[in-house]
Amino acid sequence: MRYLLILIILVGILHAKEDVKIKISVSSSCKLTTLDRMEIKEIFLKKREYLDGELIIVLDNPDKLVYRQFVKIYIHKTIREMKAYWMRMLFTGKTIPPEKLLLTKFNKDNDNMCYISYFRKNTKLKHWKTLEIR
Amino acid sequence: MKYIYILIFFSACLLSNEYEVGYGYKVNDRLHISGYISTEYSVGNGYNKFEFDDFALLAYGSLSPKFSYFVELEASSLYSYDFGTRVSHKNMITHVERAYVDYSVSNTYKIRLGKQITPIGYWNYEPINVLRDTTSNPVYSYRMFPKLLSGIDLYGSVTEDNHFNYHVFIQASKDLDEEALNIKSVYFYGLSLNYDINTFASLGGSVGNYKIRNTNQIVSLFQFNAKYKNDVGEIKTEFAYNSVNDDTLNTNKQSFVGYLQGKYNINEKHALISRYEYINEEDIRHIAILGYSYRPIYAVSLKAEYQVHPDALHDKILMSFSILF
Repeated sequence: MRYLLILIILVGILHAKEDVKIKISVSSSCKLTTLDRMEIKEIFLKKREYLDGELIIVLDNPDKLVYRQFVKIYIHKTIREMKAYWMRMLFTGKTIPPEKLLLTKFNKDNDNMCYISYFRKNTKLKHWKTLEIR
Repeated sequence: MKYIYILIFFSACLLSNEYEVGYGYKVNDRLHISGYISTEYSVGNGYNKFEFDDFALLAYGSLSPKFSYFVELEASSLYSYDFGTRVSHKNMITHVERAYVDYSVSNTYKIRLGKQITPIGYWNYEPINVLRDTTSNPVYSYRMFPKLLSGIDLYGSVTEDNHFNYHVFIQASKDLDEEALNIKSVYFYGLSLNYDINTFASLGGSVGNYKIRNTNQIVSLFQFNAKYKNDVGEIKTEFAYNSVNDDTLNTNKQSFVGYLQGKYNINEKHALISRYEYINEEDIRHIAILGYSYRPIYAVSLKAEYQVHPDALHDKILMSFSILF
């Protein structure tokens, strides 16, 4: 029993330490094909909502591991800092936090809006295209 | 019985997968419900008081990708009890604190219509106890301009990199809800600019003009703000100059009020705060504040502070507990 518990804890730690490879994708109707890291940060913090005149709608990935990795690599914040940022934005009335991504809803080519989100690199997506990061 | 229903409703919301602390409960794609509670305890010369300060409910959401709304209903000073005199007060009056719609045209042009926070400086954007680093507000924050505006704000970014932002705002009618306003105005218009120098530093300024209701006083406002923030802490300052003209009395009065506040992050949960306030109205006053803030999570805030006034009779200890839900 004791060894089983140790094993579970070790698996948990390894799982938590797992580095997930991330890709950033946009819905197929977006004109966007490439972004630099500063633009990614500004878009996902909703400091910039338009790029070349196109409205970009941010969707957060509900997979906590993917979210954590994305925030660490591209936003350079901890999860606590990120939560604090969105609560501050919300309650000061500056902007509202992004919606969560629902692939069943957004894996369709049923509207002309430009959505942006991040995924595990091996996620197969219909009607989404992966952006080149400059 | 109705309280049991309310309790069941809130419990169901809190236990739901659609609930997240600080972001509230997602009813559907277009409606989120959230809120906050704030309590205060103060000890000073001749009083020892507990106050259930604020209870507010928020509704917000996007009606379309370019169109969103925000409504905040607030009950202020709900209940207070003085341990010395054993006198309690109840106040069940609620008011519309904020109610507006936002429409976004581009990064450069966005429009906000309704009752909203006056877009001036830093402190004014933090009307809720939880967001602030101290329980008390500096004199600057409630004496120099109306904190809320019932009107229109055209705002956006001047530059492509979004570092230089502007607000042009105007109120030309009565306030949407006059309950709990610091200054009731007949009209109010102004311009506010803010520049992010880099990730750490920003500065800005505002000019404005307003007429105080039921008086002939017309106030010209000039304001300045600057901030530097990094992992170690934050230092910020805001000052405002008011020139008050009264045509009936043929008088002109000036006031200059501001503060300088520093925050040292002991770690991500604990911080020490100090603030110096300068108030030059009919006479000159200085206020000093030393405070401590503890946030087990960001949505929960416990704060304590000691205020030193020119007259020791006004010195006091303030403590608060507040939570976003």
